[in-house]
Amino acid sequence: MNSDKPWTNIHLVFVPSYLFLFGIFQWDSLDFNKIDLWSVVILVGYCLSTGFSEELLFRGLINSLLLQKFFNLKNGVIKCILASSFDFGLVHLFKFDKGVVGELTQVIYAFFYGVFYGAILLRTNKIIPIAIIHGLNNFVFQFDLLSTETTEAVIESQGLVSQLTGAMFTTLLTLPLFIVGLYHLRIIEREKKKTNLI
Amino acid sequence: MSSIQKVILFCLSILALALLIKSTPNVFPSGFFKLGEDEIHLLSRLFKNVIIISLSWIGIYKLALNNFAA
Repeated sequence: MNSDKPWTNIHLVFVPSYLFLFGIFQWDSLDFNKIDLWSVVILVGYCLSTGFSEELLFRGLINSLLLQKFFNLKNGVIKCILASSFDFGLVHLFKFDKGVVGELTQVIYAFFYGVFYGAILLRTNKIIPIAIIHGLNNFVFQFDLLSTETTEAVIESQGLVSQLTGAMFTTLLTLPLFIVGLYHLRIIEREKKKTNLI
Repeated sequence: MSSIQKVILFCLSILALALLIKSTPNVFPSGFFKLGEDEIHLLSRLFKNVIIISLSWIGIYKLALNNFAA
């Protein structure tokens, strides 16, 4: 958005690549003959628009507003990113299409994603690459919707144990993003302190 | 009203607006461009996302947050 700031730490944008690979490996169970090109085009457009809308709303607007107000507080950056990520997690609660376990898992991993994207936005200075990565990530994990049953039908067919196992697995899969995000938030706080001392 | 309360209220109102936009029914009628129900559903959500993008963009510039939004 702000072209004055240089694009720095570009490598951080590629951290979620391991999730892409994981998502693509899940595609081998899909029946590609059932998928038509037009559906794929609409899904790509939808996923990219979701990436841009969520990034602009949560990182661009809410996060920035919080940072503008509370940046100078002690650990202000960490608090602002955690608050906006919590908001981001809450919004994912309101679809009600994945059962109780699925919904709570979605809140947790959306929170992890929020912390990661919030931190790397501050480290890279560019929101558009993050929105694209967010959209592509959604695409990789929603691609199976084109050839399988609806989410509700899949959830109904699963038992509680398999739902819990799936939830734990998803949480562990996204946990590295949260850790990387927190690590970079600490770096930002340290740099903020140094700048204030000077 | 304190600064924190104002910010919380603002964030909640943005969330409420986003949820309102998300929860509205399909924008496009069934049979639109001979598309299936799933495609129409995705297309409607895409359209709603575009509305959220536009509103967020306007908000970022109106509140002069572009430096923070990077």
